[in-house]
Amino acid sequence: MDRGMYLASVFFIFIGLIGVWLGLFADISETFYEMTGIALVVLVLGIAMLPIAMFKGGKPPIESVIPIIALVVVGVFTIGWPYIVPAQEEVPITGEKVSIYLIAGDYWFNETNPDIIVPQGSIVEVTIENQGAIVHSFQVFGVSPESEWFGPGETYTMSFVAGQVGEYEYLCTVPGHAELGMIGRFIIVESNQTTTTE
Amino acid sequence: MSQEEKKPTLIDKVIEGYEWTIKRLERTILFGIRLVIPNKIVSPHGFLGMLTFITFIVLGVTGVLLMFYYRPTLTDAYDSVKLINDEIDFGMVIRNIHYHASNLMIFLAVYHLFYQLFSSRYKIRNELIWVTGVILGTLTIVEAYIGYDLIMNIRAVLAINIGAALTYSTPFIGPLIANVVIGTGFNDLILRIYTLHVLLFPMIMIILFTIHFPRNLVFDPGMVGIIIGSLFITSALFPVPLGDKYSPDVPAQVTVPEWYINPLYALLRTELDKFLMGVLLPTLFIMMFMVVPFVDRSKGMKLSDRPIALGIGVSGILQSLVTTVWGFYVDPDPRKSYLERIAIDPYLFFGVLILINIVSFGGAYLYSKYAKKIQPAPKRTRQEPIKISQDTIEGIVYAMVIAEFFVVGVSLYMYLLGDLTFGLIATGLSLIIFGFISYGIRLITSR
Repeated sequence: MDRGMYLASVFFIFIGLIGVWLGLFADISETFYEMTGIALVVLVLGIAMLPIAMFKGGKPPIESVIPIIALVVVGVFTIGWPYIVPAQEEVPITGEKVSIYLIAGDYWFNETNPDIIVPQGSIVEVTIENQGAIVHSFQVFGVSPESEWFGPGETYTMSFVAGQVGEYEYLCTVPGHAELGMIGRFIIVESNQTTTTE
Repeated sequence: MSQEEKKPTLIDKVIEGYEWTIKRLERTILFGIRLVIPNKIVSPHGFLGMLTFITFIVLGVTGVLLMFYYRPTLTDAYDSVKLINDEIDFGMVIRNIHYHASNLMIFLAVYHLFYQLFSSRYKIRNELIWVTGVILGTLTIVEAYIGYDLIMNIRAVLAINIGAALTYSTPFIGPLIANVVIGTGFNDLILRIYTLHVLLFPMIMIILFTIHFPRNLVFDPGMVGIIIGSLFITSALFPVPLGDKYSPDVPAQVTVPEWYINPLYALLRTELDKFLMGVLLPTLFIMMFMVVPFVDRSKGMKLSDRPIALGIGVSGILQSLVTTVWGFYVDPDPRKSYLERIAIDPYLFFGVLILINIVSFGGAYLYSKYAKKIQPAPKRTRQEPIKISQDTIEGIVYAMVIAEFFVVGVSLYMYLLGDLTFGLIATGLSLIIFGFISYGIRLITSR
């Protein structure tokens, strides 16, 4: 057994697992995704080095298995993260369609940023017309993906499913625009309640 | 007598010419360096530097090929890279290998540094080699950094902006350097960093190699095959995206630089003084490694005898890891402004770094103090050797030779078909099999 190489490989596997977890599963920051490639390479390198280090010069001593068990536990925990953490209850899609037409101007939606109320499980189709002089975009933070940025005069349509009941915010994701007022309330209510959509 | 008068055959002439050349080459510098090919299977930790150098050569070869099509002007740079990537035969392959080889070279160089640090190789009159090694490592990172600036996509311009801001913030010599490197704008800048990237920095590195290389170089063809093969496979599996073309009217996007300058990016995002964060602290970090042989004067070679080196090593690894990962973190909340999203709280950031230093240096000190008490002298237990019969190994080697022919055939066929990705994977696989064959032969002959 080559102790130096053994320690290095255990270290590489540990770092690689953490990197892959942060990049793919942790859902902390999108930019962590950029790190996944190098983390994967480090992980593969560690896995390739481990048996060479262990079996060099003869059968490995029994203690050398302990870090590997720890790594397997870390690995199961990190790679199996989505399965271990209880997923949020699936919202059944009711199939009810809600169409919303918004006009985006320079630093407002429909001039007053009205509240949007939709029933849970409905398919929301948002159409935004840019009547301003600069690019804008649309996102219901925590519910919908971010739209592309669209320029003056363009119209953008996106649809998404209204998930968990709660109060969210819709906004323009162009830096600085939400602070300037392009932000309003987006409320998802239970489907049996009466809905008012502006 | 008749045998002596026999006319020399062609083979005799070739051998004679070979000996003639070798005798003349002995008078040159070439034979001053001795390549040692190990006759047993040895750990690659001993020749990580050689592997780094092989990667440098791969970078040189692919870089020269890229130079045929790259145009270093502001308007053409991105388009020429796009042309190489999309249109030119094998252009995508060459570009991917060049990119991944730069990552690999930095990784191997850093690995080399930490292995030499922990195994105290700098002690046996190797101080000069150590210092030039640290300089070479820094140059490698700078070289890779200006290399990816040449693409002129949004990511590159972010990196250029960081570099320019740091240059201007340096007192006294900063404006001078800016005059030389940046000139009057992007057009000057890109031509100049291109010259630095393809000529000046590689030249400086090659000159430094003469002070860095030890006289006996271990050259292990098997490991070289495995490393380069893995590099090819990685290049085929993870093609590097081109990114969006930079143009001045597109608003700033949230993006992060390459992993090796992320520590610097994290330091700058604390929004303290640029010169202090971006120039002084990284220089101090590099100096911390450079002075290791001069502050660690202990006689012992074991880690427990060298608390300073152990502390520097552990804190170096942890600080690099934490700052790299932190550099990748950007607040995902789009409600905040761009500056708010990329800002890092300096109190938290430096708190963590100081804590890392306290823990690693304190831990190293405690380890050196109590290691002998906790650990009894290691018992001399003989490891039971694993017995594999000679026939089995020979059989495996023969099977690998057949597989090698097959894989080389497949790769050539794939290149003919035009499937570059699969062809590159097969080429990489053939190099890896070559490495294993060479190890198998070594295993047979060393018994």
